[in-house]
Amino acid sequence: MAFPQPNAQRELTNRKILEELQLKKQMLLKQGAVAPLTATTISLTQPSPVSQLPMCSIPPLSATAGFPQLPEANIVNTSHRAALQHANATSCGYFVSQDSSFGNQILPGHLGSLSGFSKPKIEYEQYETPSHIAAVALYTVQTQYEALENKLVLDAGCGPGMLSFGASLLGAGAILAVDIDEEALNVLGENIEDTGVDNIDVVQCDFLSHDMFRCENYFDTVIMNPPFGTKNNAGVDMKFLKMGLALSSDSVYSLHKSTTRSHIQKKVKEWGVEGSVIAELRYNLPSTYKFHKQQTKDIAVDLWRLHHSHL
Amino acid sequence: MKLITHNMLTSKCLKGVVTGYPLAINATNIKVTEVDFNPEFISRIIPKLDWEVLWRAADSIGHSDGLPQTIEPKFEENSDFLKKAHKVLLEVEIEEGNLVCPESGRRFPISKGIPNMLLTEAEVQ
Repeated sequence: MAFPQPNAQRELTNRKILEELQLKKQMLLKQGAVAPLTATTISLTQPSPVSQLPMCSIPPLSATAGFPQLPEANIVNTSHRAALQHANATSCGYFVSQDSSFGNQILPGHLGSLSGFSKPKIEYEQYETPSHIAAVALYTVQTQYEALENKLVLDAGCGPGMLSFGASLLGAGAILAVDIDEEALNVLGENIEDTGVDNIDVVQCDFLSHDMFRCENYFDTVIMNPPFGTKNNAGVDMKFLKMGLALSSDSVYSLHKSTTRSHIQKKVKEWGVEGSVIAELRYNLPSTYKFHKQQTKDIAVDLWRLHHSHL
Repeated sequence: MKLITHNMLTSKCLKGVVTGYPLAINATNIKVTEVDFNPEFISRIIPKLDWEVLWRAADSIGHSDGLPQTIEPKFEENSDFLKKAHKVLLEVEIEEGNLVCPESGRRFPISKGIPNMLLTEAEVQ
């Protein structure tokens, strides 16, 4: 699946689709079927309680009999739509509920069909980014901030590449995906081969080690779903954020547990940068490691946007 | 590994290495895949690049044909040039080989298109 389309034509198609989506969204909103996908800025001086934020989480599967929760809002051009329709026609539907890691993955079909970690490693705190989280997060990043299309994007701690593929689908110019773990990168390599996506380049390196790149602020956009920093690696999420900021000329978009919100707000102030939560999501984390007692666990996750103050 | 990536990678995290740039390329397998041409993106990315390093890298693996050694003013209006830059930056990929630190000679293997830049603790500054 390559996505060839001349630019002008793509632009026109995109515009048409966006208009169509707007209409659909309004219709769906009227029906009360979907929560609005609105971005919210949290003022640092007046922290607002979590409950006041509009949610763009996806309702649980059981609540929606056969209704695709995410409208076709994540499909940005006709080739994606065609691919999705094809996936739809040739598969048994979006939901593969017996497989916990895929159970809550709905749309886009592309992301849901990617392979995940074969053997997750606790030392890197590897959790897969669920495809619906990636889809909603990246869709927000593109539609609210136009930070993916035609941009040079870095996916830091990419794992099997969920965010990279999402960025590619949303029109990124080129994506560099980096991770420390060879096995995760092998899966990413297979995913690249299987999908035929041609603008993701991969480097195995320690993202947190300094001086891997020629200069700072090289990438337009840095996207990441860093380790949460909860298992013997406290603070690693903040190190990811800081390094992401150093490497981006514009913004860093990063997923963090909502429970760390005030801590990140503090760090944002300390670093003298701007930061806000632009979407609040629900991460249905399948039990990945032995210490997870419940089979799946709902975790509230914030999508943060951090950027340098001069912007 | 594409040359756009080569253009930004360094080995200066190695102990005793000052600039670690540019890394030399030893390629044993190169592939060229067609990538959608996006002139807007290419025009925007060119000022970020070290063009001389890109040209030398392309030349060292036999892909500098028709690629100018310097960037002319108003390059963004020259679609022929942008196409050549596009090809060298995004379509030429080193599948197998090594990247070599210009100062220490340390080799970073490239396997299945992925360079391994990991260092042992003893190698880090």
